Amino acid sequence: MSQSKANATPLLQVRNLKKHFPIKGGLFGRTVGHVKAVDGIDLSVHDGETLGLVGESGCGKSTAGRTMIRLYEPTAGEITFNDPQSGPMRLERAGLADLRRVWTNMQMIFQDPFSSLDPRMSVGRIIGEPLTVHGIATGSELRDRVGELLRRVGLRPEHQSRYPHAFSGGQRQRIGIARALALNPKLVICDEPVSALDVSVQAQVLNLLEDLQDEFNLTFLFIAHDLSVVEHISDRVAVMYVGYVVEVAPTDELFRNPLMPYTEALISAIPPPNPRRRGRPMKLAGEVPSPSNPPTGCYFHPRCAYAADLCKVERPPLREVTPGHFAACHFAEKLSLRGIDGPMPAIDGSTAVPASPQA
Amino acid sequence: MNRRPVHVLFTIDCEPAGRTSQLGPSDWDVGVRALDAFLTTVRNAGFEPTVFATPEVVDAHAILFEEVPTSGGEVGLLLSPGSLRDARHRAHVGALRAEQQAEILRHAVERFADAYGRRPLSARTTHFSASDETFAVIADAGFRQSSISNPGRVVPKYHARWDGALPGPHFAHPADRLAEGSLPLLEIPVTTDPMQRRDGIAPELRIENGTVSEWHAPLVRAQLARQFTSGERWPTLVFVTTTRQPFYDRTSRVRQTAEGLADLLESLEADYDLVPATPSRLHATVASA
Repeated sequence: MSQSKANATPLLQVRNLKKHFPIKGGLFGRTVGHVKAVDGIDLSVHDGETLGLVGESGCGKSTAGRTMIRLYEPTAGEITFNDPQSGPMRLERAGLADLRRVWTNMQMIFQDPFSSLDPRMSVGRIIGEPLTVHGIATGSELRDRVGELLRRVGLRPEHQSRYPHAFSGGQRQRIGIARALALNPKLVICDEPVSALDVSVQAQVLNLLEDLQDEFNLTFLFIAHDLSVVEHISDRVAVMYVGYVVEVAPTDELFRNPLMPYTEALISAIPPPNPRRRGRPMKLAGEVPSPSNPPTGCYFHPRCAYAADLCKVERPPLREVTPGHFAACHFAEKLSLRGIDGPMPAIDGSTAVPASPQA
Repeated sequence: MNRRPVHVLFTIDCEPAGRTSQLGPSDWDVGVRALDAFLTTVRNAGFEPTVFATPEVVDAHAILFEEVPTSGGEVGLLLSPGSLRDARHRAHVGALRAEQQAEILRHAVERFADAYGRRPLSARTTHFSASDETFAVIADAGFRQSSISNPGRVVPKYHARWDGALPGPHFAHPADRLAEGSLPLLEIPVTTDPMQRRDGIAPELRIENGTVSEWHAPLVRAQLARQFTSGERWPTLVFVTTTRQPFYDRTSRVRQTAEGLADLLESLEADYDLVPATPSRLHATVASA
């Protein structure tokens, strides 16, 4: 991302965003605790960029995305969307009428292309529904616009008469993308959009998203657990751990010079390349702590090879360690962590991934 | 170390959804989810899926089927008289006379081509049902490959009698389903262990059978050893499954088994040269040898 983008007013900004889910228990179903799925994150997404949000399964990244777009009610914090038409809007306090208006500029692409499309609706109705609901198009104009959207995502206009069960997962994800683009939004939150697809289809969908970003001047918040995917598409990357953002940096900087031991651990867990077997899952040693009962101090300290006494008692804030590179580690300036020294593995797993100590 | 190639085929049988078929999924959406997840799992393991589908299934999931060959894989015909719409004969293939088999095959191929845009070149029958004339009928209909035999299986009610069948890929015989012959049709048997047959069923590389450690790994190792000891010309591992299986559920046993098979095959790479194959690719390899 260019410096001018970094200095511009963010398109979306969240401050101390929290989403806690109550745990019910006991005879009367009382709240006996909370799952702190998102526990105070600060993030900015700039116009035209792709911000990758990465972390292990269960770290709260999808919940964060859904809370930012107000599919979930936030427990606390601020969400500011700089609406191109009406200016800044605080989403955490917006009513349904305002949200409906802002949702024309904020859309979401979901992880599971099977459960996200209504099997009883034709593809034409699925994609055209936002246009109908907002009174933008009807009749032959609606069919033409849906046909054009299908063409833009690599499907054929005649597919609008078919039902979702005619399509593969990758094709369904293209339908989901077409639906998300129907209202010409500014920001699209992509919630693991390729994780259910095979690796060759993943690359096709990622390339499509990049092409559409250029064509429609889109901004992406791209949520994923696969570092290769995030590296491929992101301008900047934010790393999440147990409901908290622990590192944010431009993509190349983050992968080559990680400042947070968790990021180093994620990079080291990238599976070695195998030209035949692709898309193998990343396996990181140790268990992710429960977000209902996280450790004291730095949440990563029980798994951290560099943890000191301070880490057990004091949670480090996310702070700017070098220009544009933020990390939540007490020892970010002192540690010499291993990044990636060569090219990242391609999404098809074909490129070598030599990880070597930093100079 | 023996590094002769072993051709690995992952095949899935796709019957129509609902009550028209005992072997199909509960509904079309479940079926397409199972099929898509199977394709994804096999491709991510580095292999190429082979989909045997009835014309009804090809029609229902038409746009998905367009993608199969372009993403690596092959689509063949699953001949299932019991679930074929407007079919004049409902008996299992092996119970039909040759002219009846030819008639129903013609009907199925036409419907398949209408839905898919081209004729299938590979075939399987449901329940591995066949008579001595079946291979000749299939070859006459223009098919180049089949995967119908299940060596060791003897299930009379399905007309599946494969006791003494050849265990490896071979050109089919026009009048003897168990023999090698001169037909231009390469028959690729499902991998089984006929010596361990029980109640008419030989253990086979069916993904949903047992666990990898207790079922598939011993079977794979034993059959590879047998093939190399016996000098099998085209060693193969042919896996089978159906869209009734919930591959879409990451926590299901069958999904975990499929992923476990990827680990098993990767562990064999030190000793064997595992070659991703489909029926037509294997035929091309055999033909060019």
